[in-house]
Amino acid sequence: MTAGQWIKSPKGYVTVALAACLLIASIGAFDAKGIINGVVAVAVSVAADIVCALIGKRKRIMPDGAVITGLINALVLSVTTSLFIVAATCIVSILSKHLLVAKKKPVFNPAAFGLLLSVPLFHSGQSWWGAFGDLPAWTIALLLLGGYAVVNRVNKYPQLFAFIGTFLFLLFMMGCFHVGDAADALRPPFINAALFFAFFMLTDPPTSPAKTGGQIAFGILAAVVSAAVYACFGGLMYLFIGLLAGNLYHLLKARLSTGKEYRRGA
Amino acid sequence: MAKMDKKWVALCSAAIAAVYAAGYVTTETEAAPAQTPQQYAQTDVQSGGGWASQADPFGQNGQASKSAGQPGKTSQSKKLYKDGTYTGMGSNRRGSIQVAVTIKNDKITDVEISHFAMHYSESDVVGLPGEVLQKQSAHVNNVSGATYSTQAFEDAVQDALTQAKNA
Amino acid sequence: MKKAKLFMDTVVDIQVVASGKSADRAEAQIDRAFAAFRQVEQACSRFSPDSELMMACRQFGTPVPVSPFLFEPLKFALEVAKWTDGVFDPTVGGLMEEHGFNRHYLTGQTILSPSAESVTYRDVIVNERDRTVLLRKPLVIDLGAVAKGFAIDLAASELREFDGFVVNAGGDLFAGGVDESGSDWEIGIRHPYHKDQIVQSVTVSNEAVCTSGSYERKSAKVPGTHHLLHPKTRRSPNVWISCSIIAPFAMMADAMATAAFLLVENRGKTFIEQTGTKGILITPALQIVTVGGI
Repeated sequence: MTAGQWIKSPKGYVTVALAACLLIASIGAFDAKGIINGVVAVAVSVAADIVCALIGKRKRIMPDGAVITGLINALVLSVTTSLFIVAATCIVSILSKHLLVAKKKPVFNPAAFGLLLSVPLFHSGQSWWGAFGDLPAWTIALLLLGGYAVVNRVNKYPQLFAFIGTFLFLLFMMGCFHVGDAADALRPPFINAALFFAFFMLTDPPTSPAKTGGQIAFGILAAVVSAAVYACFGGLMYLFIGLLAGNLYHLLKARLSTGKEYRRGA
Repeated sequence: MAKMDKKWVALCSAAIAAVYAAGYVTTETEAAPAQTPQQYAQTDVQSGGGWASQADPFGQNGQASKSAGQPGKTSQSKKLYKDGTYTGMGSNRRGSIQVAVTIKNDKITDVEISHFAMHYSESDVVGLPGEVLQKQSAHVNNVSGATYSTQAFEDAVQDALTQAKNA
Repeated sequence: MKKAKLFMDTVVDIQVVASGKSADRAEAQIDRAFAAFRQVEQACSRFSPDSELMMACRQFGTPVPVSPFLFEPLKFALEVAKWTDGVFDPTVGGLMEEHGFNRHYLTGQTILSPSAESVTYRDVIVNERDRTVLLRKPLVIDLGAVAKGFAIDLAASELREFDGFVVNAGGDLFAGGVDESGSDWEIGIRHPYHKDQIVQSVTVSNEAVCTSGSYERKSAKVPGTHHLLHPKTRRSPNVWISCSIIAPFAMMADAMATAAFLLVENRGKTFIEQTGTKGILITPALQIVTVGGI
């Protein structure tokens, strides 16, 4: 595959969009620390991915997915996170990708899994700075732009809309009935986090369904779980938990349908 | 393959924007508490900086006063900030912190920590003892020596100051 | 009821146990208690050029009349300086500025003031009758070790009417009366290395607990030093890593904790015994030494 072809692949789109987020957020904050975190995260993820692939005697060693995982981790973990924790989170992500597999495919979104575990394991701080939570609100437009491009490429509109629509509707209901703290979730930086999550994490092809019906069910389920976790506990883990619940649903559904009509989205 | 028509993409986006707006509006009052623009009448115009106008019988003040130059404190007829109480949000790496900054005569007279968002573990926010103590003993609510940095509040204070700035 | 505000580069947190008193009353008194912090800060801040302290510091060679908010803590600091033979010295302000402790926590502005090469507390003369301060040399007074304690005491006096209250200014605190359950307040002493843990706890009522530790506020400019500087060696001593003092007044506990930190081992202990206070001293190897019967 040439570089030109790769750029046009779904992974290429996501990588470019995430790298752009990294750059924009770093420039906006006048802080190079995020870039350092990004470089370390990508390097560690790629290294871990290659090691895992070698141990697993995989034929195809192509750590482009690890680049994405590393970038997402770096963009979510606070820029002040120590490099050790950034690296450790990436290793957890990559390990989950290689160990928790069904039919040679990762069950959970590696980045979401690593980031979720990194909270109890390493007490990491997650700021979602790469989603421009610290920048003026208009930068959300840039996020939408990049997000739409990616979602368009991977054909995940049904899933995206099902998730965002359900999630926002539930928050709206929470706002009406004064359950939880919906006001915060609808405003930066939390809305940035939700959008970033929906565009770049939720739509990961290997861990989510390809068919429209499956996509919608996946999106709704992730949204319901996310919103419920948010309403009950607040915190920042709600999105990851929602996604992992969706991943599980995807796994079960694939198991039940014996995999005969199952095809990858990308 | 789930390819959606452009029109549907646009329609869905619009629908979602509407739901978002509805949620945003319903929670408006919760999110923006008391952005009180209590403007005090700006009758007292700041005279020359407090110290510059001070009597200096021994003439030894000259070189000393230079070192303490502070922008905004020199003879200015216009104030840098409007008097009043402003709410500032700091929502960077550690969660959102809200402060109410009171300004009078270009001086911060009060910074009240009005809200800690609980999205991040509290001990991450500023090392607030709250979380700390649960690990130790339910009775210990105060810890001597547990200083915490005010750095986490700087952004929120700056945010409030920006709002207070005289155009 | 609980409220937190920023003063003196720290979070000041006031809690009141107000059974039988109206919430409005409690709130009003809490606001008055905070006002005490504001007044002391405006008088004693080394970081704002227009504080009473810095204004006085710019006029050396002449007696300057000052308000009690500056005079009282200054007088007390000079007393402690005398007791400790200058080991505790409020004229270290210039040295502190040199070490990079010169940035205002709210405005971010830094300050640099002229200060003579060698200054001691003897270069500051206070006149009790006229309430004036006279500096014999250009110098910068640092009341960091007493002003916070003084403000805590003033704030506490506004809250005496309640069953119980705690004025906690960044780990230096005064606990009055009893807690919600009617027993004495239990105060933890922070673990010097782990900010999430306590090494010990003490029960107090109507007493102050103040801690000086070398684990916070390291100097960004001079490696190996922190915000507690020995005026003679111009370095930070490292006999103790943390000194906590329990005393009837926060100003006393605050100053003593700093003094005990700066004094050599045995002198620090005798000093605490002589003043009839109690102390919990911790060495860098985490050995805990208690003084005065805790």
